[in-house]
Amino acid sequence: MKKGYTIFLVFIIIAVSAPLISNQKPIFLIRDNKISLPFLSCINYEKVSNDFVIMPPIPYSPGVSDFDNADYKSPFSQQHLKNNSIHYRHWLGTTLRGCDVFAGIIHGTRYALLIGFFAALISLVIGVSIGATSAFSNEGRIHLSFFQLMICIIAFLFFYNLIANVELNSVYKWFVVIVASISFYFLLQLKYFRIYNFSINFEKIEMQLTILFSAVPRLFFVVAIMGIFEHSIAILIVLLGITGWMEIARMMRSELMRIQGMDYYASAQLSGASRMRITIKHILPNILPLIISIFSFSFGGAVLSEASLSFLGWGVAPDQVTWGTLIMEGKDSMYAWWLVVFPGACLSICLYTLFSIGRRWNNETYSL
Amino acid sequence: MRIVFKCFLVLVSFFVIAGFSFLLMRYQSNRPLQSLTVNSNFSQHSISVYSPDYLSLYQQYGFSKPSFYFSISNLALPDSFKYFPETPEKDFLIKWSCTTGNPASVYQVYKSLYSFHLEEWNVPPSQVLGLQRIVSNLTVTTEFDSLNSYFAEFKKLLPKQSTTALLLNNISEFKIKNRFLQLCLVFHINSSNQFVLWCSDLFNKGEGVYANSWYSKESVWTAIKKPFLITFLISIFSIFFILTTSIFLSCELFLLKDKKFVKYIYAFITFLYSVPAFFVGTILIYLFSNPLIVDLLPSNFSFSPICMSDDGWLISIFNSWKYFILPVCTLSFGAVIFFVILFYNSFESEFLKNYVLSAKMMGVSARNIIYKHVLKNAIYSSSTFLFLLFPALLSGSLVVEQLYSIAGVGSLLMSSARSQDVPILIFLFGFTGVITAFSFFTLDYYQKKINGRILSQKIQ
Repeated sequence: MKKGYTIFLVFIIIAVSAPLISNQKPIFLIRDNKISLPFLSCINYEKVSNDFVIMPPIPYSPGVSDFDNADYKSPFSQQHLKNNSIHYRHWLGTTLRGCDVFAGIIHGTRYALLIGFFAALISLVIGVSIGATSAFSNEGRIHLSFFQLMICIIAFLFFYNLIANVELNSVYKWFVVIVASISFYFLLQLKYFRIYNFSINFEKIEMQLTILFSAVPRLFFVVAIMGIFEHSIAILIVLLGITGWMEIARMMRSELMRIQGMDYYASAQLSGASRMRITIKHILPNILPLIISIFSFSFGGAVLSEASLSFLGWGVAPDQVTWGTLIMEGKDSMYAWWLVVFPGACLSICLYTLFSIGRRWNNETYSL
Repeated sequence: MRIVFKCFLVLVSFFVIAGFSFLLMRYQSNRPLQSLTVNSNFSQHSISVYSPDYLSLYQQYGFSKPSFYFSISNLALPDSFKYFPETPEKDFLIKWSCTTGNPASVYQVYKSLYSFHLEEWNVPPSQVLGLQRIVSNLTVTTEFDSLNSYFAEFKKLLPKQSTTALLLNNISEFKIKNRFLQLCLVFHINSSNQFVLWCSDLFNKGEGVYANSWYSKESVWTAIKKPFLITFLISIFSIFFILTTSIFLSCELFLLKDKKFVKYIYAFITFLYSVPAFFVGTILIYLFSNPLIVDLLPSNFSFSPICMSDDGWLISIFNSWKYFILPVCTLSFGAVIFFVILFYNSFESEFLKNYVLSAKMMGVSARNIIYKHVLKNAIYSSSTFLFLLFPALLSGSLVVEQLYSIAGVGSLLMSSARSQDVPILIFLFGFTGVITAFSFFTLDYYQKKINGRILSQKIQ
């Protein structure tokens, strides 16, 4: 299992240091006795004869064409090497336009892990919140005054109308409306507003909501929504995040309900511990392995969804190279196997690592 | 009564999903006026015709007006500008790129213009799904003026984008001073008008704008019928393949469990579970449908008799059996691995039970014990997942249909999402929702019938 962690650590190191590993700009430059780090700047580097440079191990950026090696150069074929230096060889071949596959894979790792991590985080936050609220709400019910409910609906309408004429991206508009409405609800938690109380069976609502969101397959949902918005990483993260919380909520709810029925929970309650203390001291250590397990599976699922969407042409923006886009490009050619095999192998290993970490922590949870 | 309630829930979920999807469809930016998708054997393109807003820019830069404006979804990077010769349009686009700061989108326009000028768009007309539609739509509109009239006609079919603005004007005309009433009115009409129209068109009249696809102009039912049948067939074949293969593999693997190499095979199978379907599909095309290696199985489903002919469905299904092999293998790959692992684990737990021990003592062979006794019990315990297969396969069809150019539900969703064909999108969302809800419902019913604990609770 340690191998799994090691491989995943390697992926993380590659993702973090991608500009240092693969870049057409030098890492280190001494020009006219001045030291600079060109890989950090946006300005294009042009070599002068007296320069002292340290180039990255792969001197190509993703998506940048090397016209001398265009038209699918195999890793084993003869290539036109710049300055006849082996350093400029395309070790994993090139695409139709001469883009380096190795550079694409390294920067693709970055996109895969970035999108996967944040999408999984959003799913986890939503899933854990809904699951925990459902499990901990008083006998599955939350009490809400009629007045509070009405005010929340009116607030939603008001905030929407307020920003309807403001020139903002529609995602931000919705975000502002929802955040404003939620904050309004918390404001109304003051006793002053409680006029007539009635209860909502939150547990049932949560279960119906989970079924409702599970009803449409994830890819169907994301593709339909991506048709509306411009392709970008942020949109993709949000969409993958809001479509992956259902299983997490269900698992979290069942686990928390299991814990609530255990002896140590009852003992803690009888000993007069506060809810916060019980949560932090007793519940959290017990559900932490489950949370890590869920996060790993969710992370893997998001990475897989991102690759599938990029493969379909609905993923990140077209100028960004990911594992999925490389495989999509390989699909167009009948002999450029290196465009399919190397990114596909990277994706499979990454997923295997994440799933095996998840399985390990899952076993840990149920062995307790 | 419970069944009625559950059916009611299924219907409610259909309408909620459809309504929710519809509301999301309203918030769109840079909507193309028309979008057409083309699937060739190994690639997929889509042309989106945008409104002729570029005209003013062309005039501003002093160039002659182009024949039409569109973009292709399969992009390259801006540095591929180098591939194209110097033309006035290139200069214009580079300048425009500098002003807009979006060279990638400008490059799309340039590439498509250039390709069409030189007639270099190498998609064989007779072999490509959907090209007929493009030709019929675009050949009549190669002249700029006729394209404008085409746009004008098309715009009539578009939904009223400015509903909110119109409403607000009307409200101010009516001089409703109560702000709250205004808000309620706006919210009510915004959330109901087009969705209500869609429902009424679809169920009552069947002739309105919302009962027809905005893209192909055919009714929603006609547009969905053939893709659904193809996806349904592939899913059914996949389910059959998954069950037979996974049962056989898991049984044979379990029979050999005392051998040392089985441990490595099992580890390899768990690794295969992490391999994505589109990667497997691409590898299968490379291996079995490659003229350079072995051209054994066809990979372009659009050539199959089932797609080419409109009549004689049953015969065409039999005739196109070869075309089903690769898609079915790709679609069921992940599920086969999943069920092999699941059945193997179930066998392990079942093998510890007393009835297996007594069968062993009676001298029944291991193969007979597994196939005749253990398998039945193992399938019962794992059957929960069988009911969730169909929705999962529906989701997987999106990738597989793009890979093999299958005109199924997934391809229809993609083309509808590109062209913002709202009636089809609403129907597809609702349709998948109902299928999933129906699967949950059947699972629930089945578990009550099978699970002894639930049954005994009911009796008590």
